[in-house]
This record gives sequence, C-alpha cells and structure tokens, in this order.
Amino acid sequence: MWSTGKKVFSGGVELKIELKINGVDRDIDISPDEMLLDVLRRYGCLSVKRGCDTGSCGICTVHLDGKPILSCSYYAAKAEGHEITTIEGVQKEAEEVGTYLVNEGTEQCGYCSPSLIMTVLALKKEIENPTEEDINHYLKGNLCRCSGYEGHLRAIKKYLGVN
Amino acid sequence: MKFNNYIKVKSLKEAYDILNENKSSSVIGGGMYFRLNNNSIDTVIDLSNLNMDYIKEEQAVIEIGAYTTLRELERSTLLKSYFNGLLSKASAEIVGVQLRNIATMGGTVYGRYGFSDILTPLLVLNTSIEFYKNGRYTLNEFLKMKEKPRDILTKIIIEKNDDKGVFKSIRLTNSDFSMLNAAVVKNKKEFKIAIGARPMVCCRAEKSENIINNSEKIDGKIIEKVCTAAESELTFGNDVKASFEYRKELCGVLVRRCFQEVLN
Repeated sequence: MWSTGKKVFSGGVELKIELKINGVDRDIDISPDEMLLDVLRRYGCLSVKRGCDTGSCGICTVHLDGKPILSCSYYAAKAEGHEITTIEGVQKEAEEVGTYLVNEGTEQCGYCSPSLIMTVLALKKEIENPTEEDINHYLKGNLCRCSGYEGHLRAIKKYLGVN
Repeated sequence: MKFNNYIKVKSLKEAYDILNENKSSSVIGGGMYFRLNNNSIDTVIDLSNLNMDYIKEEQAVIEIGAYTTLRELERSTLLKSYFNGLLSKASAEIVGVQLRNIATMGGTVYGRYGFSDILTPLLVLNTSIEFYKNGRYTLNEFLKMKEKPRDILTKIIIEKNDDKGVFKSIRLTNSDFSMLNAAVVKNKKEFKIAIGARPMVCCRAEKSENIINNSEKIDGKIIEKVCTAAESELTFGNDVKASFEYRKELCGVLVRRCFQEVLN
C-alpha cells in the first residue's frame, strides 16, 4: 500500500521496491529496515560479503549508480530506483583486474578481493590518469587482514598504467 | 535502528508534517550512523527526491544542500577555491570513499557528532544552517542548543570572505575517527580556533582567540601562549580512543601545527 510519499503499511510487513541489480530490473520484497547487503546476498550476489558491519572495512563495497558505497550501511529502501552493480555484473572487467592481482601474488584468503576490485573499477571510471597517491587515497576504505598491501599496489598500478 | 515504515517524501511540507504528527519518526541522511543506533522508531523519512544535493555559489555565500555527500564536498572545485580548500581537505580524511559517498552534510550537521571532522572546520567559518520552518541559526548557536528543533535541516550556508583555513587531526589509524581535531582560520581581522572530537562535539576556543586577536605582534611566544590557553580553556574527556590527559596535550600540538601552516 503506497501513498504519494511511497508509504509502506505499518507493522513491519514487507515493502516492495524497484531496483536494478547488475542490469536487471527487479521488484524486490524487503523489510523497511533491511540493509542492501542482505538483499543483494538474498538475490544471489554472494560476492558481496559482510565484514565489520560498521562501515569501516570496505568488504561489502558495491556500486550505486557507478559510485562505490558500503552495502552494509545503506538501507535497501533508500536504494530504490537506483542501479546496483556487484562483481557478478562486471565479470569481464573484474577478471582483468583479478589477473593483475594474481600475477603479483596478492591473493591470500581472497575475502577482500571482490570489494577491492569493485573499488578499483570505480576509481578507473572516476579519476583520469591517477597517481600512486590517488590510488592510496581512493583505496583507504578497503582493508585486507592478510597482506601488507604492497602486492595490491603493484597490481593496481600495473592495471591502471601508473609508473 | 529498527523501524516499520520508510517514506521517500515528495515535498518538505510532507516531511515536516510527518515528523511533527508522528513523534516516533525521524529524518534520515545517508543512514551511516543512524543504523548503528539501537533504538526502534515507527517511521523513517527520506528526502532523496527533493534535490537537496547541491553546492552552489551565490553573491555573498556558498550554499550546500543537506543531502550533499561528503564525497561531493571533497571533490567540489568551488569549495577547493575557497578558504584554502579547508572543507575539501577535511572531508578527504574521513574513513574511505565508500563512506563519503553515503554520509551527508545534513546528517553530519544535525547529528552534532563529537567525532565529526566536518563540524570543526565549519565552526571556524561564518556558517549558518537553515531549517524548513524554524529558519536560520548560526552553527555555533545550533551546537550549543539543549534541544534541537524538530524540523527539516535544508541547507548549510557559508559566508564567502577572505578566510584561509587549516584542518589538522590525529587518529590511531588512517581510516579511523579522529582522537582530536582542530581547525584554525585567519582573515584580515582575526583568527578563529575550533577543537573537535574532544570526544564531545567541537567548540570554539574563544579565550585563546582573544589572546592572539588582541596581540600587537604575532610570534612564536604568542602562539605558545595560545596553545597553552586552548589546553586549559577547553573540556576534554576519556573514551576508547584517548584519555582526557592525552587529548589536552594533543590540543596544544594541533593548535600549534595549525598556526604554523596558516601563518605561512
């Protein structure tokens, strides 16, 4: 039941929203206070992981209209009408970044990789001719518990053609 | 935060009416810290449809819409050209790009968060905020209010002038909240000093400002006097990040660093 303000009926029962996920328009049932992370995982986007759940680690990174956001900290209802992209939707580009990561021996547990790749893809679109400083700054919100980030930096610099 | 209803309103009037008719309702900004609250409310009001994400230059002021994200603040060429890029630089230090793409100016300002790295530089500029019904307040007035107006914060207004500002912070790790932050602004007439993340919300160091603003000569001696005064004048507290004693010590350090940069 919707009013002109898209009001949901009370009582904590489900809300239906329109969301584009990886290029596919969907009518999605959510609870009003459900986070985007949980909705995406429910709809099969298992690349999107739960890490700190407080917006600090970046593991849950997805794109909202092309911009990287933290899906653990974004209400699904707020995302209504927007386009969400996960790594499942950019597999060709992600594979290219992934190859650079593998070639630099970066991968250990791999848990942070999908989110890191999503952030790198966003960086490539947003910043033309990034410097090493730009890369470090842009990726500050992506934490890795396994590595010291050196392999990541080498891989990303090679991917972006930074000297 | 648990809630039953999520409403994307079509007008400020609709938002204001819901907020005041339903005492168990709240406006949401980006929702970053809203969600970490353990309360339950009935209705959340989302203003995304009201085109409140803008940064625009008017004749005498810069206006920032309440739904402008911290990332938009950081990237704004307009804001980089004013106040020595103070607001852009302060915003750039906050956690990561992903968070800054969500957190909004309205949420940050209305929240009056102690940890905020945005409120401190805003406080040393000539900043006012505007509510839908209650009109304008200076930021200083708003931060000191016992009870916030139950109203819709629509924009932040900053007077354009010759303010040149510097922001400094100390944090345990690069993407953590500040243990303490400081901003100093200098213009032809005066200096202004604000300290935040005390851990309480930021405030001006007015007695310290008077020392430097009333001094005939600005040299190392007077700066040291200002730093010592700021440490004594302000209140600090303990939390998981730092002790009251450490923050008091840091205050003098950050004020000194700000002055070293703003005077060059």
